[in-house]
Amino acid sequence: MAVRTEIAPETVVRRVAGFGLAGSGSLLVVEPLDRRAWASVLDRVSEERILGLAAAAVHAGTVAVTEEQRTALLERHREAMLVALILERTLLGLTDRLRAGGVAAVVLKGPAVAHTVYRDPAWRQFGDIDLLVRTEDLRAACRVLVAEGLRRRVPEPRPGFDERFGKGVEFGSDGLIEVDLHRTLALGPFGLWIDPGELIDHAVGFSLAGSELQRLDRAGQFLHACMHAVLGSRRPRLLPLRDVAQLAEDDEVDWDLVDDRAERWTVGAVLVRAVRTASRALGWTPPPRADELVARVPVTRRQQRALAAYAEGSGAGIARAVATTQAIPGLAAKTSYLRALLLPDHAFLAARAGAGLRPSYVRRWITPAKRRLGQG
Amino acid sequence: MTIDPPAFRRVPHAPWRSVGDDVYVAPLGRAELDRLAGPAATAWRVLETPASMAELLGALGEAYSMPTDAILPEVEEMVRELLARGLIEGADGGSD
Repeated sequence: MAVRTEIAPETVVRRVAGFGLAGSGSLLVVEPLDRRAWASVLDRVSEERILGLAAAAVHAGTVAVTEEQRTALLERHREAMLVALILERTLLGLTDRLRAGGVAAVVLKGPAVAHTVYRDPAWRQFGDIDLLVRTEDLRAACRVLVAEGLRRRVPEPRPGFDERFGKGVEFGSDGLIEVDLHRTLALGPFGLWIDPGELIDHAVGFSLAGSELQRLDRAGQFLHACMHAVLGSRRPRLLPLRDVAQLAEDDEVDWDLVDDRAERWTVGAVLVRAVRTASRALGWTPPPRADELVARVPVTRRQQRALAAYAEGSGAGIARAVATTQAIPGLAAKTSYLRALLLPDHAFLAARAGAGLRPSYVRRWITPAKRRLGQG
Repeated sequence: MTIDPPAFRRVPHAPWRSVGDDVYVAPLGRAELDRLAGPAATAWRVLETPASMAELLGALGEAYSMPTDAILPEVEEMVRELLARGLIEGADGGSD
């Protein structure tokens, strides 16, 4: 398909996000975009973290650019890759320390998909390190990260919350290092329904700069990509959707295993939405096995209600808390969860309140109500 | 001055990326990253598998359409710099 300069910048961005996929139509931008349209495309591919795909599309000659545009794109891609390299170097050190501390860590997303699923790791940028550890190893892993000079971003709402209800713990440095230590793959009900221990049991090795690290098996990577794309942000971002498509096209995916986990862990609604959204957003035709999965996987009303709780809009946080409460088994555990949300420790409140503000339960309870009124 | 190892290779434990024509490398144990451009980037790509000095010279001569004896001094200096920065090593794992 030849496309002239009047093509909408957003169309170029979405087709760039699908560049190189077998199921994406070919895009040919035969003439460089004008200055304003190009500036918009450049900002959007940066925002969506698909600079590597844009650089690859330009290199392949499917998106025509001026020399000035090419230089600007390569400069941003270079910056993104420098971040990725610094993170990978950090990752190699951290996984060594965790191993020495007796903690098995599985690399999620970024480096794990960049090096094992994409044609070239430079196509897949990332801005943090995500590691999955067993719930029983979470405290030990936190100690290792602190010993490495990283700081926990937000304190635990109440003692024991992390292991019982949390997705994990976020750490950061004074520089650009961000590490998300996961004990499950998502916040809320879907994160509680899956079995992360089983994912860790089935982890497989991959090589990063000569070191052997662990990643999820392909079925697990696909499942996680779907969860991240649909549950990770209010509006699905193009890079996670690209991961969904990239993994769906990978020959190594065991679709029977995806099917089995989706049914046992009641995440069918997430997979269906992820594949359909990726298809729409990227102009991508899923391979037959992914299409069959979407048509066949059981989706219950309970899953649909849970999925709705992640939707964009006022009161979404409350809706997710309600959905999470419903997913937590046992009255005592539900009560503990709600108590932690409503009456968290002061250290947590202070961190959430921000600099210069007094920690306050009242402010925590009333802010969402004000926001709702403001948007009404 | 000759360079001792009979063959060279990239150090195995250094994350790297190709960006445009350049290569960026993040060697372990150092805070900074290195940018390899032109013949240095070509040498990095050639040394994905171990190569002798003669093989490296041949590959670079072919890539830049230059006689190998004309580029020998610069290539030797480049190899020394890559060794000094810990980006390549002797193919037996040593650096000298």
